[in-house]
Amino acid sequence: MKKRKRWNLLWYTLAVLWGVITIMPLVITVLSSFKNNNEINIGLFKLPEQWRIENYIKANSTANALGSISNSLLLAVMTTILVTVVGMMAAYILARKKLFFIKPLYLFFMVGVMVPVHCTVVPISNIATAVGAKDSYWFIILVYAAFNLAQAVFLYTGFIEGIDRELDEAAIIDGCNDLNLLTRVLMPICKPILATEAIFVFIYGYSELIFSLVLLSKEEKYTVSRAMLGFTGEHSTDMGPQFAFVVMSMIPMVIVYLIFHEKVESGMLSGAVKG
Amino acid sequence: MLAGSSFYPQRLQMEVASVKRKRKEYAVSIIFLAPALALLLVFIVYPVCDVVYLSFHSWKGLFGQPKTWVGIDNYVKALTSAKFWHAMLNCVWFMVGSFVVLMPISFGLALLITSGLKGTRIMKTAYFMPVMLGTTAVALMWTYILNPSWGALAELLRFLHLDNLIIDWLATPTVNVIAVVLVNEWMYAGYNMLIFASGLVAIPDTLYEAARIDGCVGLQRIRYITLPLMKNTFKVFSILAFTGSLKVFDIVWAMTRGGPGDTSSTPGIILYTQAFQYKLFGRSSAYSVILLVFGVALSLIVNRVFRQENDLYA
Amino acid sequence: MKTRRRLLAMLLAAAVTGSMCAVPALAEEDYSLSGVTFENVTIRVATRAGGDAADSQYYQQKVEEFNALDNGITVEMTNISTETDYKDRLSTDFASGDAPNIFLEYGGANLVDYLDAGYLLNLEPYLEADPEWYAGFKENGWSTCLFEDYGYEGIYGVPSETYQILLYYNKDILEQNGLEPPTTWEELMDACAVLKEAGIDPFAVGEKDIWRFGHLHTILSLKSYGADVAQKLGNGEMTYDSEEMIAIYQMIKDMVDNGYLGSNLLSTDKGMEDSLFEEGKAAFKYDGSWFPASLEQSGSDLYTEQKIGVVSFPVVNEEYPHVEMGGTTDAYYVSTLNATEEQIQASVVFLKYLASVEYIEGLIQVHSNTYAYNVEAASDNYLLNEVIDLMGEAEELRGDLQNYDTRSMAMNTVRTSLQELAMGSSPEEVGKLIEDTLAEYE
Repeated sequence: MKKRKRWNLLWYTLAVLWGVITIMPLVITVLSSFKNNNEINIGLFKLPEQWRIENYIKANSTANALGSISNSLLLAVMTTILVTVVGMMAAYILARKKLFFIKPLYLFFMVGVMVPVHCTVVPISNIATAVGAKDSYWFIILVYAAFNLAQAVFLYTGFIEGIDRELDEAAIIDGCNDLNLLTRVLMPICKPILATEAIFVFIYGYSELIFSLVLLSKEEKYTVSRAMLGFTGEHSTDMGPQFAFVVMSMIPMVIVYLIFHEKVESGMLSGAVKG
Repeated sequence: MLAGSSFYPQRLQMEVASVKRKRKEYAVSIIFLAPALALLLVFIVYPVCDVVYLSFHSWKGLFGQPKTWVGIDNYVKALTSAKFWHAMLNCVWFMVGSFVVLMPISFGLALLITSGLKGTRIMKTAYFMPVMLGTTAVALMWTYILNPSWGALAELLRFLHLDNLIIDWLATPTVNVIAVVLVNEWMYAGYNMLIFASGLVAIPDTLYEAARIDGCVGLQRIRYITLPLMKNTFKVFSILAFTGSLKVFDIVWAMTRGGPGDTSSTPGIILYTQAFQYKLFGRSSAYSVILLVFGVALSLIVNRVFRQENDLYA
Repeated sequence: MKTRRRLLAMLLAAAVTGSMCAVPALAEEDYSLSGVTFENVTIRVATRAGGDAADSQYYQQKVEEFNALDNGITVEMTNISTETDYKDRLSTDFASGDAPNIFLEYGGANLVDYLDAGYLLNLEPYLEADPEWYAGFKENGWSTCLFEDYGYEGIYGVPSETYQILLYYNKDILEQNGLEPPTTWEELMDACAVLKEAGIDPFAVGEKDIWRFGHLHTILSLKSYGADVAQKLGNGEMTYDSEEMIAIYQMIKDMVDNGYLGSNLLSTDKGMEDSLFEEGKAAFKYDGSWFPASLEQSGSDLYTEQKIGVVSFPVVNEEYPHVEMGGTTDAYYVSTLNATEEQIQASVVFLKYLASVEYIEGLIQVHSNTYAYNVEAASDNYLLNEVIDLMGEAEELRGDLQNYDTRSMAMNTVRTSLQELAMGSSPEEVGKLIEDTLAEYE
């Protein structure tokens, strides 16, 4: 018992230590959001000489905080839903069906994880121009989903492969069709991985820059990262308000993370994984 | 026995049923895969085809201007460039970092937050904070910490009277790559922690209990129960780590911009600058294709390695 | 026979250019566009006037006013304030055929690709048809819009902002060390030695941003060899590993080795450089004429107490005392790629609006900077007024030397290689590195 306690203590110390160094950027970001350029450039780790709350007001007006945050939220939520549904459907087939084209298809999906984003920017902009989809959200959502799909399918397939097939068979004997099997039986077991990938996709969709830069022009459609560029002028950057905006735009992400991470743990179902 | 007379038609019926079932399998599979494939074809496969086509041409990136056929010239130029191989070497640093630093830390953190210790909720939020803050804020903080004049690390070393260890970390060749790799691992530890955690929580408690009764605790438990059951997760991690290292761009761009000189450049940075700054779209495409080929090759190797282990455990 | 073939070739060429870009062939009197009316024409204008800076806000507000004019033209704005992101967007737009009708660029060789493709509008006939508009620009502002060296007659853009590189100094630090503002390179070096002796950083250069040495290299070359050096380097008469260039690298290297440019200059960026100077931690700073405006905005005490002075960049070779690094930075260009004749005409109308006296007067009031327009308006920024006086003394101006080089990767290659000077490479090695890297792209 004593040994166990010592182990726990060690764990705690390590955990707290890592926690401290990962929480530091947040502390610095919050402190910086009350400073001016020179205070940030020369004394990043010091307390601000004067707490400049006006940075938050400036951030709000420069980046149209409410507008850009809700735009990003919309894009992120839609992308997450699309990736989850489309990805799970594909992963179910890839993991469970034994047809001749499954293996090559799986490799095909793998290529999707490897494409460097910059080489796709011009072709995708071409498509957008051709179908008249510049400045339209549905197109961006499809692009975001496509870029997350490969990793999602990958993670889902890996997870489903780890689930005992007897579960499927039992369900089929009970008269479940494929759709029911997927939604009623597998989805609940897959909650941990669904929630994990949902967090990743949400963060991607919420903070993506290059496509929103290339495909959007109208100011009222700006996303968080796109609006963030507004703090840099031709010859200098307004760093204090920029950090203030980082703080504001983080709040939805933290909330989503906490909600989804609860789901990771509540999704446990013993006996689902083959031993 | 009684049904002996109807034996033949019954077999036919079964065959018909099996063909029907097979046909239904195909139909369901195609319907379920269609949306994902459509997205992939339009937004990934079409651009990749375009890139492959461009990689054999010379093009200045102006719409409507002819793309001149240059054969494998772009590939020859790319593969004989010392800068490219230097950048590949930097990728290797990222790969090494992923397995030596990132994997143990992420896995450790995953064990920690799923262990049921008290206070882990705050912890797991903290661990994920760097990803949520984004590359720009993270890179800014670390470049300040690593500043040799007034950075926190230099102050610490001065306090410990280790002044001779203070160098310009981000401006010294090789050291700067390692520094960026470590920051990258620090940033994404929380991200990969989630991948491992989702694998860990799926392992049923009953297994652990059975093992405990058999006297299997601590590291043994991890060795004989956790790791074998997490094989798929490790495979996924390995492939993501390899491909992520090959195309790494954001964190390097934000911290060093590939500099000073080209010392911390990566293939991702090269293909970006070639296309968007030098307007050499053909050359840039050749780099993309080379990266894709490397990526596919590495993934196939990873698959093979894990398949062998599969046989071992079976 | 021969003439017929030539005629055929000409006709073919005309057909090709005609089909690719609809360059309007107007009768002479129409170039003034006085009788042209528009109906529902939408044009897209790409600039870096995004965000909250006063000049950006002013621009956005004036575009709204223009759209409210009911002249049949609607302007859609694409405003991206960060340079790399702006260029990413512009490259993508031109590559995918959805180019803006008007775009902001910095002149030089990277526009030659557009010209070669026939995608830039020659504004000369329009300017000549509207003398009032033409005369509104400063004579020396046109350099970024002319491409005669590349074989293109005409004026392919209109200038907006001008700049010059000058030497700013901290009056207190110089006074305390008994120094006068330097006028020659020797005086500057002597002053640096004195300051270094006293434990003060003469300069704090943010060479993490590679254009800092790029600017230093350009101005030292211009001041040593005169304005011709730009053309010579551009057409290959002088190479980057020539003795002349190595002498310039040596000057920079000596400053690095003596610690005159600050410590750890590779981990200092331009933002930190500004802050260090504004907080009185460096005595000198070479920077553009845009610096007074950012100094004013920084809230530094040195500005309010008028403790920052400015002189022309010190003379290196007495033959060229008034050759300076400067000229036009921003200029607007009209793209003909996939543009209709109406859109091109509407673009010219909008350019005239941006150059109107009323627009410029308002602009100077909200943002103290130097512009390419003949509008006299005093600024209340004391430092800017001194800068404007100094700029009047310049006789020959050239921008970044690589702007005169047809190799579009020259700028980045030279700047990246110059960083090696701060990493211990010798001037000869740097010269060789530049030429070798450029050869790789041949």
